[in-house]
Amino acid sequence: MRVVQLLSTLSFGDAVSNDAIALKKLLSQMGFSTGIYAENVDRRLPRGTGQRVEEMPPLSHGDVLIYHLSIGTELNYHMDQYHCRKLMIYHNVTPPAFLAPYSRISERLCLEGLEGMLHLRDTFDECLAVSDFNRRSLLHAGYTCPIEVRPILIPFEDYEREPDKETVERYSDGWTNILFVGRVVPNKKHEDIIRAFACYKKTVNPKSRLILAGSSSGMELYKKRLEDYIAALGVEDVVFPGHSTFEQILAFYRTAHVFLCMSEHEGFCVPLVEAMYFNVPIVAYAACAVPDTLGGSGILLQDKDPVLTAAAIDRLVTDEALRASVLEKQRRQLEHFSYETVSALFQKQFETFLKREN
Amino acid sequence: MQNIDIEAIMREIRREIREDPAFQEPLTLEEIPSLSQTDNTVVMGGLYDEELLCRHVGEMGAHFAVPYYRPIESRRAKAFFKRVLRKLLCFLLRPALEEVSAFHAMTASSMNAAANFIREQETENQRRDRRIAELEKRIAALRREENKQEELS
Repeated sequence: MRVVQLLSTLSFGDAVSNDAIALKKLLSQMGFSTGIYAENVDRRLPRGTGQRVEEMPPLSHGDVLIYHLSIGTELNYHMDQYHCRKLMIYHNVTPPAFLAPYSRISERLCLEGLEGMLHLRDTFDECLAVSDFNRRSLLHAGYTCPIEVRPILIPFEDYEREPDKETVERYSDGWTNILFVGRVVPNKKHEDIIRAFACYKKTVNPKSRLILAGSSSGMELYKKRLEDYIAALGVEDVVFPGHSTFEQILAFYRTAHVFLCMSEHEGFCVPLVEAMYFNVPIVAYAACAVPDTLGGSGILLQDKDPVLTAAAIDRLVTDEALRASVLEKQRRQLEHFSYETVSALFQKQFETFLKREN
Repeated sequence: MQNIDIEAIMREIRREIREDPAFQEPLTLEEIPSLSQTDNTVVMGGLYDEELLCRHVGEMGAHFAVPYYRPIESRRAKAFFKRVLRKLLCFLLRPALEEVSAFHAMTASSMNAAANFIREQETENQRRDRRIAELEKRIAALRREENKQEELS
């Protein structure tokens, strides 16, 4: 029996691709003949990580196709051609309205992604949603097949690598580092992070900086708009490191004092789990899957009041007891996302899926 | 571990900031006009970026076709009406979209060839640079040898 994964783009460093790569390793350990196939395969990935969809071998009734849905693609309309058992992993699709002012291509891809998600509602034998929010989204869209929740599989051993020394030195200067990690895209609401930081820096702590780590590739207009906004607010020490190496990302986490997330659309939000792993207290706006991922840990904001956010950051930085309490809860929540927990959950779900279909 | 009520702390923070006039709300993004709203240099004339070029060429290759036939997701009557409309407009739209797709395919193919050519040239340039550096070293060594022989003679 062959188990293949299919997705639109297998790229370097994004959550969906990383999940597929981690699952490939796990499926292989489970003894299945497996592979990843995509319409586009990033050249920076090690040779053999994935192949182009044209190279996918024909699938028979006994095989399993695992399809990762996160964006609009022709693949959404070709699922009927695969006559095998089908399992969908739903990562959610960004609402196109966020992207419309900055990229027509991205807007269209997301619109097609949502249309594709609706089109596929009677196609799969089962779905795995990476958060309860995603499960609810599928139910809302009319999916009637069994839907289980399975968080993204994160191989935490990778995070034990040595962080980039130069970056650690640069940001270990006694200043307070506020961090957000994620692509520079409008749904992640970098402007709200900048707004809260402006308030914090001007009113509470001038010796602070904001690090907005993540690639802005394809969203150059949004990045430009943010730079204009920063200039208009007159706030200094906002750093956009651009697409960083994995070691640099590790260094950002190692030197961060607070992780601030104001995103308005997340299907899971891996950086929250990363912040938990690196013992960085989290302040986050309660939207979409963020409350699911935090699971009662961190400081969850019910509104985006920049003054309240700035004051909450200040309290986390200065109040040792609060910081320790928040970190303790985050460590407990992190156990839900450990590699062992999630891989055991996936194995159980996958075995149930195979039995059910047999 | 001390059990801390975060909700109570947030209420306390709210009370504190209400009483503190130092806190002022910064303007929102929407309140500030973009300094570069009409500036499309980012899109049209950016610096050469190999990663961006490869990504865009890859996306062009994957999305060059503009399909005429798209599934219709609506309730019965509405779906029927849309299907009729799709059928009626087919003679007009299909050839136009096929031409657009053919043009896109040629553009994507040309861009892909150009990107490959740039990559090959970069590799070739790097090879030439290394060769030039080696030759310069050899020339310098020969010059030193020549000077020595001149001094001896």
